Amino acid sequence: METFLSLLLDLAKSDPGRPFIRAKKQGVWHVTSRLQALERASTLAQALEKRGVNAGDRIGVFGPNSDQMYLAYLAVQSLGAIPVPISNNAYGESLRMVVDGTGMNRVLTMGQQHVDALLECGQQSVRETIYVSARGMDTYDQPDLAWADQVMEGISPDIGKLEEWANLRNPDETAVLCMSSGAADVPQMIELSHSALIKTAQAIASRGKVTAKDELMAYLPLGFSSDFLFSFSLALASGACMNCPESDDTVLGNIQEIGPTVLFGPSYVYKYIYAHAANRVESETDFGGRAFHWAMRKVMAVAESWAEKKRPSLWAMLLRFLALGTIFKPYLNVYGFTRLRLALSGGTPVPFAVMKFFHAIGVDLRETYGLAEGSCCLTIQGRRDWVHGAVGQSLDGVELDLRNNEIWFRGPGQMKGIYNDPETTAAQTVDGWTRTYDAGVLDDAGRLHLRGRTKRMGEVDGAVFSADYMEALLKSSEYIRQAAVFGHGREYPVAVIAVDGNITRTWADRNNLRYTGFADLSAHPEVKAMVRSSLQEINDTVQSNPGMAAAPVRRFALLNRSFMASEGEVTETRKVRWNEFAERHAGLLDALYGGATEYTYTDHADGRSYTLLLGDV
Amino acid sequence: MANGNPILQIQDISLAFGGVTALNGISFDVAEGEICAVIGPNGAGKSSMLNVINGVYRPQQGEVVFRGQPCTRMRPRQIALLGMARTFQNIALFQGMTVLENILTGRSLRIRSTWIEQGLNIGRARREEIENRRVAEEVIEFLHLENIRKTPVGKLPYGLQKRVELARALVAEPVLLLQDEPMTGMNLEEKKDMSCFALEINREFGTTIVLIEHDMSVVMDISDHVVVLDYGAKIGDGTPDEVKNNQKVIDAYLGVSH
Repeated sequence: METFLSLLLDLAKSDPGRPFIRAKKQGVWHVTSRLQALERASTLAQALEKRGVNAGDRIGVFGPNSDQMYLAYLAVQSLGAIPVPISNNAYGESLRMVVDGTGMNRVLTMGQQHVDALLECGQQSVRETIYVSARGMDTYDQPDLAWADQVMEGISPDIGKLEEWANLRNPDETAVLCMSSGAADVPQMIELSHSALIKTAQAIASRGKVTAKDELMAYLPLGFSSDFLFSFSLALASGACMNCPESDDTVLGNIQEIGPTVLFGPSYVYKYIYAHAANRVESETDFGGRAFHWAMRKVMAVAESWAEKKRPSLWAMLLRFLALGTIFKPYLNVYGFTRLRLALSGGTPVPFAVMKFFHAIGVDLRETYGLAEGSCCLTIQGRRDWVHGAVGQSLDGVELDLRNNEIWFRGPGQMKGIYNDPETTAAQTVDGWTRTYDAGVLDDAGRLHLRGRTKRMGEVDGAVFSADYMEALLKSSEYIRQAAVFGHGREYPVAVIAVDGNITRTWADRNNLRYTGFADLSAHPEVKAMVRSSLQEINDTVQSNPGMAAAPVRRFALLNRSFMASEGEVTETRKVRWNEFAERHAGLLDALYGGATEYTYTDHADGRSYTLLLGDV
Repeated sequence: MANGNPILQIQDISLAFGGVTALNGISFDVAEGEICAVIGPNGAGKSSMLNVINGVYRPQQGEVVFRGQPCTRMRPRQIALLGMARTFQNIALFQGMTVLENILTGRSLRIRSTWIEQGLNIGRARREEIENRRVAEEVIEFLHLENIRKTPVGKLPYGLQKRVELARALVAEPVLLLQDEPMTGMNLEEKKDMSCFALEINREFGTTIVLIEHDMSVVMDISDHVVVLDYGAKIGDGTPDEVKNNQKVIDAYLGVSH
């Protein structure tokens, strides 16, 4: 039975010099080997013990993806205390919620920006804040602030001590408190044990053949449970190396420099890359463009055969090989994807076309499905096992059960509970099974097909209606970047759509449309007609496929801009916050149901007035 | 930060271009560690003042004393070697070079190795190259330029170019930093960033800053000391509060007939 600390001790025994974390600082990649990681964690752990950290204490770990933060997890865990990861850019209400919700009494953090955010939210429970970077901190005289270098002064690394602590630890102890958006409107803190996370990570490693030779990118905000699983836990379970970007703005460039072999990302990352490639095919008419077009057709032809479970001909494989070598390898290098072997996607489902594209160009892209309550991963797709809308089969040891269309699960990755909330825990976990509040279907091969959150499902217009599912389908059109579907308690479903600026612009240029910007483009009758025909196609698929019976979207509106997190319309991970959205755009929804063809409103985001186009599908 | 010892003394400076008097008998002191703003209406002689300080213009009369050394007869390079750096009103960067390359040009004064050593990348040249890059990276981190390190400057928006220019001045590790209208043409947010940077530079490195600025709210917020020029003459000198209540200054800004 393992804990994260014992995993690192074992890794260091087998190959102490192997990189454990690579982090870019001041333009240079700095490597922390497994042995150095142990040494540094032991120093910090001893310092924390001296300062009176006890088993069970909640300790905030608040900062960017970096060696300091990830090693802080280990140091805190070695004392039996519980790390609470907090995203780098948290402030105000979102920060207060985590600090309050866990009653943490210490925070390990990076520097001035974070200290300011903590001071501003003025939490009483935090008795001490330890910061790593002293820059700009000389004017702070609060007694509860301590500089990490001073805290650790005179303490020398002692791996023997870590081994002692490792023996005291129990795999069923809480390893982390992760935030879950959950089914409730208030985020909850989920308690996950060492064994839950480690077993889940090991299952992923064995399915995806992740080994010590792999390079991972640790770039998702610390507060996301997916970062804890797919960076920290996966690295320790497989021995792979974590790579931390220099800053939030440099992630793309840093991925290019590292060339990760395994990458986890939200589906929009992959959709973005696909859209970019599709755009190139459409926009260029010179030799380069034609070559790209040719290559795209050749690789997609092979992917089509795979999708139909047929063996592509030798000739087709040869042409694909040529297309890959001449066009796509150099193209992928722009993103740093040449070594990418396994790409994992989570969150909303990846559109089918995107899936095919990535396999066509030699990247094994697989869907996963999970939630914080289940250590963030319950199912993973098999290699080239694509079925429209499926998110794969359950991980080793995970059992899925469908009750009233809702997915329930049990298995090694189950949460210990919701922190400090036995009532909600009891409501969510019944007889050893945990509910997900997501609806789904299992097919004969045991693949899970998601149908969206149960909250957003119901019967509309005489058919089953799932707003999430429709949104996912709409977004599979390359012209549609974001969509919010409504229909509950109404006569029929409607959609508010934000078009994809880049692709629509290219389309407009080719069709000689005149426009001045995104808002103007969205208000163009021809764009409306184009979106309408995409919607008709989608409605046809929905209705022609009996397995996916769902009420079709009848009316739609084109929004004058993308959905914005700052306006409360979507979460930071770009999931639609439908209550807030409906509230903000109540007038627009009324106009949609009222049968209007135009709607003029003042956009809160910039205070200007816009006229939106509304239409029937 | 200011400790009262003058680091820069302007003594009775007069500068004329032909018949036009740009500066007329100006004297003031800049104390070590302070942020000193030079303000005034258009054509008051602010930029000329800065150009006299760093040796671009040679005044007909008077003396500039920097760190105890009279430097009116020195060339700009010699003055720079004493520890003075500046940024320009119109951005003066190499548009085709990357941000990092532009910033490294600010280290050229520090280079001691010969071109032969540099060509072979041996001895001092190698050590200097590493040291220069280290300092440049510190400044890049300080001014949050990491994500555009390798972007050609010509591709950047105006506000960022201004920041790159500041970075180039900072890598020279100056004791005195001259900034000629660092915030013109910026939006509110960029101005806020730039003001914070000025304060941080001043506090963190103890760098004395002399800046020319038009935005009064910025000037009043960040400076310890304000000098007001009008038609080549000094009409005010003191703390922001003193200057704000100076009748001559109010007249100059509101426009009283002369």
